Amino acid sequence: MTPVAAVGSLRVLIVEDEALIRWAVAETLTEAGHTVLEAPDAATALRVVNTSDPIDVVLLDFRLPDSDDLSLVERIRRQTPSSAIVMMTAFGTPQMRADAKKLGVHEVVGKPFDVGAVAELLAEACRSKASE
Amino acid sequence: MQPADGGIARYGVAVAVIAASVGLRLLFQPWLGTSVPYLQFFPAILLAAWYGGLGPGALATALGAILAVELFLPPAGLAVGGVGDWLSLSLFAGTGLGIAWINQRLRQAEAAQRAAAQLATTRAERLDAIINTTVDGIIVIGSGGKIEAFNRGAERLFGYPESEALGRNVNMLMPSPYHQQHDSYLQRYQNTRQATIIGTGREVSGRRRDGSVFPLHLSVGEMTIGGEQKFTGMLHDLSRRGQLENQLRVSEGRWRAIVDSAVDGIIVIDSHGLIEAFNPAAERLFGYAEREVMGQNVDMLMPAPYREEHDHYLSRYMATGRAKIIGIGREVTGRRQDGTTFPLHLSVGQISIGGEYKFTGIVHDLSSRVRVEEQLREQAALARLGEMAAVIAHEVKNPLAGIRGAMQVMGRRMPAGIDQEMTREIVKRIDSLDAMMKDMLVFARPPQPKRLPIDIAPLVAVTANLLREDAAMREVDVRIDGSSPPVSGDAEMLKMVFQNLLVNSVHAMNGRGTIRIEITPVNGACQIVFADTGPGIPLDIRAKIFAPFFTTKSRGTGLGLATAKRFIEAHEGRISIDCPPDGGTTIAVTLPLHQFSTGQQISQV
Repeated sequence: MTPVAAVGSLRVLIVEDEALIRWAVAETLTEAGHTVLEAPDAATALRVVNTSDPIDVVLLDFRLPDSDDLSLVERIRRQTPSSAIVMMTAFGTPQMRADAKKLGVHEVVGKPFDVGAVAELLAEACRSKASE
Repeated sequence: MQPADGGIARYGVAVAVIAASVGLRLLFQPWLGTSVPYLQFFPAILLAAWYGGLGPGALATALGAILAVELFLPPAGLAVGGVGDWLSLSLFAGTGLGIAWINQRLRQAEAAQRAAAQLATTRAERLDAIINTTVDGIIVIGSGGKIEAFNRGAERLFGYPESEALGRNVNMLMPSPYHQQHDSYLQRYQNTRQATIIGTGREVSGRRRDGSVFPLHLSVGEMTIGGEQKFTGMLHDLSRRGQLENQLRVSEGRWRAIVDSAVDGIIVIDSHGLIEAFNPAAERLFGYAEREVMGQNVDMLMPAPYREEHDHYLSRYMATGRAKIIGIGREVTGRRQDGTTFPLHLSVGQISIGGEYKFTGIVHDLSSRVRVEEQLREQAALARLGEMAAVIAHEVKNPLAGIRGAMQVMGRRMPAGIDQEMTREIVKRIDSLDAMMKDMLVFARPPQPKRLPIDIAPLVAVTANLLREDAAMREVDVRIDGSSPPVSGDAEMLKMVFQNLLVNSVHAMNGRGTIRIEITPVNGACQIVFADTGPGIPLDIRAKIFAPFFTTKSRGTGLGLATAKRFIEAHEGRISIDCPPDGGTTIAVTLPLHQFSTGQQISQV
């Protein structure tokens, strides 16, 4: 278990339709002292982005019941340009990864992944975002 | 002396000469008186007997005796004369008859001689006619080889007139080298009496007057005439036969060329199934040479169970005439010399040669068609697999990610102990599953190679070095030889291929042995041969070794070599496996060389 690096408390939005993933990530991040918001689909995600306090980093599944392309990334970036974005995917082609990076996605994580490493990854994304 | 068969003439002559004798005597009567009354008749008797034989001779004698007694003896005649008169009469008669008899014998002997001469003439004429009208040439030579007889046939054959041939050495009728050697043949025969041609016959070559050479059959007989040894040669022209044979040869040659150049295999069997003809295409198809199969049962070209049943099929057909394949055609399986089988279309025709049934099989190889079909099927299957893989990847990996994450969280919260350990084990299993999914994805959806000019030797070396760091490779000696112009390839994909091949070899050798990698340019391509010192791979396994999910390892997805093959084929290259007789396994990879445009650089690996 990788200890979550102390980069201060982050506000994290997890957009993921698989409840187990959501739960595992949320539990891990909460335990590490972060604030976690959850959305099971794109619509919920956009509502949360619009209504909540600023979000430091969005952990976004590539494929959701109501979204399976990068248009969601663009909308999130438009609505909360200060948020860093990290994507998760069960099957990412090199092309898709490259396109995501072009849209400002900090990292694309292949599923399954080590939940213990997620906190560090998100912190890294935020640092990178802050240095822009 | 003419034959005097006419009796009247013969006897007439006898009477006439006696009459003439009487006339002659009467002229000399004044001087002779009664002395030598018979003398004048002797020439007449001789004449009559010479001309007419015994009868006229006897008649002349009788007439002479009567006339002598009546005209020239004293008037008392016989009756007056004493014993002396009778004696002289008897002597006259006896002498006359003797003359007649001798003449008769002379005439007979003469007639016999005449008949004999006639016969001899007839015979000679007949022989002459035979000799000169026969189509064959007849030549008689003396012991020195000089021509003594040369018939019309020989004139026609050789173009020499008899007059020109007679007296010349017979070797003028022979082409070299017999022309030069004939004298010594003859000499040797006379010395040793060992005949090579005399008493027998054989085909030789003749030389015509115009210098042309022709085939002929020569039989030589030996004879002795007047103590001199002679040889008779009978010569039969074979040039016409030669022409026919030539025509046959040309005709046969044409058929042979057709049969030999046929793409399809042509096999002829007799009614017992024994092979009588096997064309080169059949040789190629089955891997047997013609001489290996001639006279063998055709069932050797079939796999079980047809092999065991073919004789039965054939005998049933011969018995019932019910054809199952004859006159029709169908797809069957052939068996090559190496034991492998292949699909073929067989059409069988029946022929009868000299009253004997034979069967002609035309064998069309279907393996290429089947191979293309297989390739198409394989491509379709791979395309489906690719589509499935994308779905499976999401549908499986997503829950796997959830399970893994949840298991990590739960394990973290558990007190240290077996339960917590098990959660870690579960996570490990999930990672194995994930690795397999990744392999499958790489195989099912291989990336498009990003092709650049690549120097292959350093790439192979880098891959081998990476593996050397692995503990399992410590006792494996990897040797790389040779070089090649740059290939056109995707370095990352090729690295994966080489890595897969090396890992397989290491496993095959149980981590101990030598892997030789040889790089050679071959016909505009680069060949990289990986040869290990492992146990080799049985043929049946070799055939399946590039098939996806085929593995002999207890742990392994069976995708390593399948992926290697897909990657190489994505490079328009080829990969093949072989097990040389001296052991080990070799895998040959062929990659196209890069076609340089100006100013292009080799990419560094």
